[in-house]
Amino acid sequence: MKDVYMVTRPERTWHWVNAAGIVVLALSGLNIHFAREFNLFGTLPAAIAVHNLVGILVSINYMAWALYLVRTGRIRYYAPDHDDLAGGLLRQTRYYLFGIFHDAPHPFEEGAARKFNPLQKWTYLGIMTVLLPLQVVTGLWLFHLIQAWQDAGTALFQVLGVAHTVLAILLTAFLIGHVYLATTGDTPWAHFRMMLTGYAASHVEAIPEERGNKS
Amino acid sequence: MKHLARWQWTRGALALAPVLVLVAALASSRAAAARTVRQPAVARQTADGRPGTMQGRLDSLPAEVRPCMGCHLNPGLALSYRDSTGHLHQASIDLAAYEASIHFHSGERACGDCHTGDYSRVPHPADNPQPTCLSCHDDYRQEYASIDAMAHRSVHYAPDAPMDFDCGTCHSPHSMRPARELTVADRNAACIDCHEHRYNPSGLTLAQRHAWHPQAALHLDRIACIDCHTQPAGAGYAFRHDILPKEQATSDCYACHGANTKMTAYMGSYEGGRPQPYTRGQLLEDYYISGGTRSPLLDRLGLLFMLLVALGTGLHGLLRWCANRRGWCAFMQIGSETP
Repeated sequence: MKDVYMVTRPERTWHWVNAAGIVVLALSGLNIHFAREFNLFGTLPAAIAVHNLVGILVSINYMAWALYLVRTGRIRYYAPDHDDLAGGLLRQTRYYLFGIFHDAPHPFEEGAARKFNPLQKWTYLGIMTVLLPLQVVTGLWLFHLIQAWQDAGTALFQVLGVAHTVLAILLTAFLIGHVYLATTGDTPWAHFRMMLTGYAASHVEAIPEERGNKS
Repeated sequence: MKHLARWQWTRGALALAPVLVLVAALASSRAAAARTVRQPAVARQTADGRPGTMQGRLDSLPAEVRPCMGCHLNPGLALSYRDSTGHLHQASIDLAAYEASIHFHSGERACGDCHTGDYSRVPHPADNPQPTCLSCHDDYRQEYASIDAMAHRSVHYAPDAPMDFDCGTCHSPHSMRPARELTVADRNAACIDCHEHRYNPSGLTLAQRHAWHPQAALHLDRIACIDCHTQPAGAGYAFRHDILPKEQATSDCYACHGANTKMTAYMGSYEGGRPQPYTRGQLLEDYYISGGTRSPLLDRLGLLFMLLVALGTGLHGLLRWCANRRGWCAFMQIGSETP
């Protein structure tokens, strides 16, 4: 067991800015959506101002993160490989449903060559390449920062407004699951420690052939 | 030599000083006199630019209304009285409002055109005929009957209403203007005149009474009271008179901020001309989520989904905790094996 440096400083900074931003966006979004029932920010205009400002910050943060991953090549951690297909997904699902209750070893332990298990990888890929970009684009469009098709009529407003809500629901549900699954490391705090210090305790060597074959 | 010249200059100046003082004093006293003459003239002007003295105002009036206005123009005279129903009649006339009214412009502007009877004695006989709208507008009898029927369904005609209402209770004939000329503030004045001052049982201000609304000030400023306090049920005129009890007023954001809701079908933009329905684009500006695109079904499904995710993860965590046999389950002896 040795400490492996898994998460670089820019990644950690992006992660926590994103985390704080999404929590504020979810709360201010709830305030805007349920203006009468959930008035956390005092007044509706205050909630709208916070939501617009933090939305832009999170959008910039997202673009910076994507640029960083591409430029450093660390985007490779998100690229699915053979282990991430049906077999790997099944093994990881079985682990969460059964193995985790019997102290079974993680089927895909993180190491220098692999950061994410198959379920995690597909989820992050879906979130970061589909849900979040769509949320950013619909949000910026509704805030009139994207000028194209602003005069397309009200049907588009309706569609994109509802899409923004649906995406918000999915992202908030992800946030709940994400925080919970973060406790499923070797110890409940292991993943939180990793996201704060960058280091994870790992059994695996950085040899691609051996990765993920512990069980 | 130079010294002598300076002395002569100084002496000349000293000799001139009393003259200068005298001129200055005279000028100042003339200016003061001018001020004392001009000041009251300015003060006697009213806000509408008319002479402020009673005689000046009377002289400036059209001849048709001059005989009555000697008393009824004066807001300081105690001309208000309560009739048998408790209605407080304000008998002083706002001349500027009257001159802007449709009745003044109709040509039938003399007081006696509507107020027939004996007005030569003061106080005027109580049995003088009271003018109604139909006294002149008999050709609108059908429309007025429809409005009257609507008004009878309003809180103002409830059995426990504090007074009897007629058209003039809210719509003063002395300031009546065509509906298309009215701004939101004009419209709301009919309600606020009573409910902010004369009939306000709660004692709360308008803003306090609407404080529950997330955008109270904006709505009080931009839309008419009747937009929320009436409902567009059934056929009738655009401007409804069946003011509902406050419990039946619109209070759900989605009732207005949504597709094919009250706002597009019923309310309108009042400024400048006849009411026009809002466009969806106008409605959605800044409102897209707080109703404009809100679906109550989606809200319920979304909240249910998040609740299920939270419950699922919570249950999973509880099972994990039990399974490691050091937690609450071991204490309750739920686990199958001892540690």
